Order: sequence, then C-alpha cells, then structure tokens
Amino acid sequence: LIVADNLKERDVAKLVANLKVALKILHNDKARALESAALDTHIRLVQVQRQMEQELDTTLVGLPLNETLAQCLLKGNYARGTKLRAEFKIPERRYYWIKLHALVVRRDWAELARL
Amino acid sequence: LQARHQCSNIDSQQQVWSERFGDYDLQGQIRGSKVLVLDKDLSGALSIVVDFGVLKDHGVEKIFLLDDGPLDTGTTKGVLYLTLPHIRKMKLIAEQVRASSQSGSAPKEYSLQLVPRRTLLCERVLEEEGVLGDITIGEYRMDFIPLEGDLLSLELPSTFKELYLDGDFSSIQHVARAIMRLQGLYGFFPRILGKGDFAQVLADSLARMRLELVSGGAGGPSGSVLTMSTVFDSLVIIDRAVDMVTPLLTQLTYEGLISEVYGVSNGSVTLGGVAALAPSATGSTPAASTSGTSGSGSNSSGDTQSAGKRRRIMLNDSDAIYREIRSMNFAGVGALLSKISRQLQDNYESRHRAKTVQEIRSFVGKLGGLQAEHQSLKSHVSLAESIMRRTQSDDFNAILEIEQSLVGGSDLTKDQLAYIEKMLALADPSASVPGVGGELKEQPPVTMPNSIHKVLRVLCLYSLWRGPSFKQKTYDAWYEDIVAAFGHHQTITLDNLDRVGLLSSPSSTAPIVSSVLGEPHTLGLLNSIAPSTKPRNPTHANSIGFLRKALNLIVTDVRESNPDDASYVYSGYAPISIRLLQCLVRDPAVYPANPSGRYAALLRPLGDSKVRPALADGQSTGGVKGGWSGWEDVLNELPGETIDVSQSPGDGDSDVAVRRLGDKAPATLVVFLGGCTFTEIAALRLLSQQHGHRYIAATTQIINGNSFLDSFIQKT
Repeated sequence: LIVADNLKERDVAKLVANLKVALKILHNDKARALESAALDTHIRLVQVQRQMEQELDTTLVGLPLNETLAQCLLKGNYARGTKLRAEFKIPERRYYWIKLHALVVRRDWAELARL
Repeated sequence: LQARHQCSNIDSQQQVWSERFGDYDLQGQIRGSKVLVLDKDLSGALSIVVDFGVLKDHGVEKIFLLDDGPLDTGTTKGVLYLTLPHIRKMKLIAEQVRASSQSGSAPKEYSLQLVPRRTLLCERVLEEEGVLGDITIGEYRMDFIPLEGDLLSLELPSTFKELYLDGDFSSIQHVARAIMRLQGLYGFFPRILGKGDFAQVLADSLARMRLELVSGGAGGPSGSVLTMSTVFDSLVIIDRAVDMVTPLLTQLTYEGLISEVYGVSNGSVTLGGVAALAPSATGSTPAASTSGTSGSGSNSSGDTQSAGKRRRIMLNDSDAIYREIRSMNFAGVGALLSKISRQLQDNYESRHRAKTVQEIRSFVGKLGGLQAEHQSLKSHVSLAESIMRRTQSDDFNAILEIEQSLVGGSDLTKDQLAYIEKMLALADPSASVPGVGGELKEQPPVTMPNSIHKVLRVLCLYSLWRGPSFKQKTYDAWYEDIVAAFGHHQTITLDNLDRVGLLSSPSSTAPIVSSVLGEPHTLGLLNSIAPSTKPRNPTHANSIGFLRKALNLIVTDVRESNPDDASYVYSGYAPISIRLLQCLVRDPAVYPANPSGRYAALLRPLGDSKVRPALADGQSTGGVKGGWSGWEDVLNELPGETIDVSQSPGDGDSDVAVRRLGDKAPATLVVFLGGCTFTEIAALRLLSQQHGHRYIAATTQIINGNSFLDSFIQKT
C-alpha cells in the first residue's frame, strides 16, 4: 500500500507503468483483493481518461471516476458516457444520479425527458 | 470561592506564559528589534495567551506567518521562528535563510524555537539543507492553553491519528509534561483514573515523571512537590479510542453547530462577508475587538481591515449572551435569543421612564454595556439564523435521521441506504469543509456539500454501531463507491480507517496492531501494550448494543430547552465518555430507571439511593468516589486498559484517604486524550452545575467529526 503513496506522476505512460508494478505486488497478497481490484480499475481509468482528454480537450487524469463521468456528460458527450458506464460497470442508480445532475446543470431538458 | 479559584487558574497561566515569553526572549539571544515568524498552526493559539503589546515590549517589530517565498524582513536584524517541528516547515525556513544570505543583505541572526520540543529529525533536515550553523535552535514548551475557565487545550491537531495510526507517542509526552506543570501549580492529583491504552501510557509516564521529580529531589523544592492537591480530587483520563462514536455525530448544541457549520478554531469563529452581519458593525463587538484583534497581532487585524468584510468573533464566556446560549441545544436557542432581545429592548425603553437626573446618569452609565450586548446579540442572531437555514434543510435532517436510527440501534431503512448512495454519487471531492484547515471563503452553503468528510462520518458511524452485522457485501460496495467518487488515493484513507477501527472491513479479523509498533524496544517501553481500538476481551457479541443499555446511552424523553441529562447535547444520545465519567462519580443518570436494577446495590453503600434529582444532595454526588468498581462488565466492552492509580503518599488505605480528600476537593480534571467535542464540554458543564463540583476539561484539541476524520484522509 505504501506503493500507492508516491504516485503523483503527471506523465501518464510512466504513471501506468508504476501502477502496474504496484498491482503486481498487491496481487501477491491474497488479503488485499479489494485494493488490487481498485487499483486495477484505476489503471484502466487512467488509460481511458488519457484517450478522452484528446477527444474532449480537458484535463481528466487524476479525477475520480464519477467526476470523469460528470465532466464527460457536462460536455454533452452522452455516447461516451454510456460507454464509460459499460466499461466500468457503474451501477444504474449512481449513473442516473450523475446524469440527472449533469443534465440539470446543462439545462438539457430534451435529453432529460428522454431518460 | 470556586469562581475566584478559576480566575486565579487562568491568571496564573497567563502570567506563566508572559513570563516565559520573556525567558525565551533571552534564550533567543537576539537583542533589540526582531521579526517574529509564526507557524500558521500556532498563531491562533498564541493569540489567546500572548498580547501583542507584550511582544512589542520584547522588541518584536513585525509578525509574519511562515509561508512560501522569501521573507521581507526589511532592516531588522533578528529573525525569530516559532514553529511546530515538521519537516516541511524546516525546509521552508532553510530556504528563507539561504535566500537572504545569497541576496547579500546584512547578515542576520536567526533563531528557531520549536514548539513543543526540538527533534533530532528537524536538526537533521536543517543540517542537510546546510543552514544548521546559521540558526540557534531552542525549544519552546507549550502548555495547556486556557480557552475558558473550565477548558484547557493543548491545541495539538491530529493527536488521535498520530497515536493510533502512526504510533507516534510524542504527543503523550507533551500532555504528560503539561499535566506535570499543572501538578506543579496545584499539587498532585490524589488519584488517577482512566480508560484506554494511551491513557495507560500517559498515566505511566506521569508516574515516571513524578518518580524522577522525587528522586531528583535537589532540583526543586521537593517539599512542595510532594503535596497532594486540595483543588483536584482526581485526574480522569479518557482516551478518544474509548468513544469514537461521539465526535462523528452531528453536534446539536449551539456551540457545536457553529463548529459544524463554520468551524471554530482557537475559540473564535471567522465569518465571511455575506454572513448577514449588521453592516453597522464597522469595527466589531467590543469583546471581539479587544480580545480578537489585539491579541492576534498585526497579521490578523490587518487582515480584517483589508478584507473589510471578514470578521472574527471570539466565542467565550466574556460575552454574556454567548455564555447563556453556547451549551444549549439548538432547539432552544431561538426562543432564548428572542427573549434576550426583548429584554434588551426593555432596557433601552427604560430611558423614557428616567425622570431624575440621577436616573438618566445611571442609564448612560449602563449604555456602554447595553450597546455591547446589543452588538453581540446581533451577531448571534445572524449566526443562529444561518445555522437555522442549514438545520432546516432536508439534507441536514436526512443525515440526522440516519444518525439517530443508527444510535438507536436499528438498521438503516432502504430509503436511508439509498440516500447514502445518492450522497456518494453526487459527491463533490473538492468541497471545502468547515473546521478543517483553511477558513471558509464565503457564506457556507445551505446544504452541506457532499464532501468526503460527510460521507465517511456516516459510514464510520454505521461501522461502529452495526459492527457485527456489517456485511462484507455492503463494505465492498461502499469501498468501490468511495473510490469512484473521490479518487483512487482514497484507498489509503480507507486503509487508515480500517486500521484504527473506525470503518473496519468485516473481513479484517486480525487484531489491529499498528505495524509501526513492531520494534521490540518500543514495545518494552509500553509494557507491551498493543494499542487497539477494539475491546480487549468482550463478552458480548454486540458490545455497543450492550453498552447502550448498561450506560443508558439513549434517553427518549429529552428536555432540550431545560436539560437535566447529558444526552440533551445530541437530542437523545449521551456521549460514552461523559457516561463513563458519570460512572465514576456515581451519577444516577447512568443507572437504569427502575431502582431495583442491578446497579442499585452499588448506590446504597454511598448512602444516596434516592438520588434523583442530583442537585438535592449535591454533596454526595460529584467528585470521583468509588472508582471503577462495579463497572467491570462495561469496561470490558470498551477498548483499552483501565487505570486506577492512587498517588497518595501513605500507601496504606489509600482509598479511604482519597475519599476523605475527595470530599473537600472542589474539582476534577478530565483529560481527553485525542480531542474532545463541544458537546462533551457542554455536558461537563451541565454535570458541574448538577453536582456542585467543577469538572475541568483538558484536551489535546477541540474537535468535531470533520476535523476528527480529516487527519485520516489522504490528500492529493
């Protein structure tokens, strides 16, 4: 777990490499299943975030998952949002809370009506 | 008489402070003018005890806060740093020292005073930075700061975390030293009682220090050293680990709510400009302007003026109105405020009735006081209004409901669980939290932002109360939710909480032994205590459920506006810490309502079986009498060691001796190791009233749920 401490890399490639090392260590410890799962998602998240950064033209790396989704929806990229949801298995309820919130902020009533 | 004693208590403390300021001025060996550079964490605390005027007398020209960037010392020759021994701060200092020597200005004298003591680590850092030679290092010991007549604080943040997570015991040393100082002033406490592992450590080190004093002999006037205190009948140490539930709940006293909504630091609250404060209050209330601005020195008063709209309000007993409402349950505050304002109105009206010159004169004489009262009333009304807006929001009530049903021992309903889910989904990771670190920029929003603090408070409560029936599945789901909502680095937070047992994963069956403590020599020092926040040998599967009954934690008929039981501070729940104290003093409130209950037998030997209301025979309650005996089953369910040490000289029948002493001694010192809440203080005050016996609270810091958890939360 101490490994997770020193991960403030800005360089995404390096970050992912570092995280993978950490993941390997965690995998050896059976009692840490929860943590290693979390780390695994985190690695995937960072990679997706990097992709999305190019698409959406914002900084996303470093944001938590919910925040990433919210940002994405706030930009009006609903398709991407749905993809994120599938990719990270975001529970239905949480997804719609975030989406609802984002749509209200955007005042996108048409999309809201379609929910 | 007691009141006067209290005064002398504070006065002497303040004197001690001023004197020592002189001392260390000499120590610093910088004569003439100098600049004082203060640690931000210290400035507030310092402002309470030291007057800027005193500093000026010692040649302090300017006060800066330790911050990034170079220091503009101007032409002054000496620079005096006063900081906590943190590595980051050492680096800052080193940088400033180097920067000024490079700029080729006239050589300066640097002196560094570390509060509360110098550490090898800090010296190493300075050495590595290559500036050790340029700085004279000393240590400046911090004692209990008297925030109030009955409230002492060390203002040491995050003690609890240091003890239970980092295995860093230095704060115990500080507490022990501060207590020794008190003992030096008032004589030894005849008896030390306590609960909790680190309470044990503290008691041990107190005993050791006392031995050292006695054997050292020559150093001080050993005759006076050995006298027992006639002021305090005993010292009660309560480790925060014993009662982790209390700080997590939303405090419902006025003072507590201010700290929940605005955050109170060092006995004052800073209000944002839009806080609906009367615009006519160009200065501030007299109370605030005398104690608030002058005390905190140039930096903060300059701040108030430049910002113009910021205000600091001192919250202490010098404000008559505040004194009345501070400890009230918030439900009653509104009514009382309006009553006071009507009274005030009447007083103003009285000038029309004044006929003779004499009457007019006496009115004018009162006018100053009236105006002061008027001002403070205004600010409290607006404060109360803004808090009211918060307490009436759905959001606040939803949280409160969750808390109440958890405390009441029932599981959460589906709706409540769904609410938690919603909170997590709409969490705002960057929300600012009152009572933690930085001050609020503007008016706090009506609904609390879904900060990680707020979420974790609820979850921790759930874990603490539901303990055995906390399902792995729920934990896993929350784990995932939190990570998704607040970022991956919060895994560290969750791990921290798991290790101290605040939010423990049901699967982690291994005893919580901080790995930092693994080294044998530290263990030896500790009498091989492995600190843990779990009960040592619980006999009941559901400890907290047992405690709730045994200690009568939940009181259903609460009289919020006219309290008769400590439970009023949370509208129904009495803090465990306070109940423990009540066990010690044999307060009837801890006994089940029916007198034939199993504890009734315990009461009889003390001769006060018909005890309610306590005031009727205030003589027999109040003061620590019987110690822990009779409460073993309760104590077994609480974590940590139990302490009962007598410090009486004649070791023979110490209990009798203590009891004899205890009858006379008018006060008990209650030390909260790891912080205490405003509600607990309020409850102590209520007990003091009921028992006709002073309970003086001493704590490492005043906390609320947010600041309590803050130290565990990993920052990005």
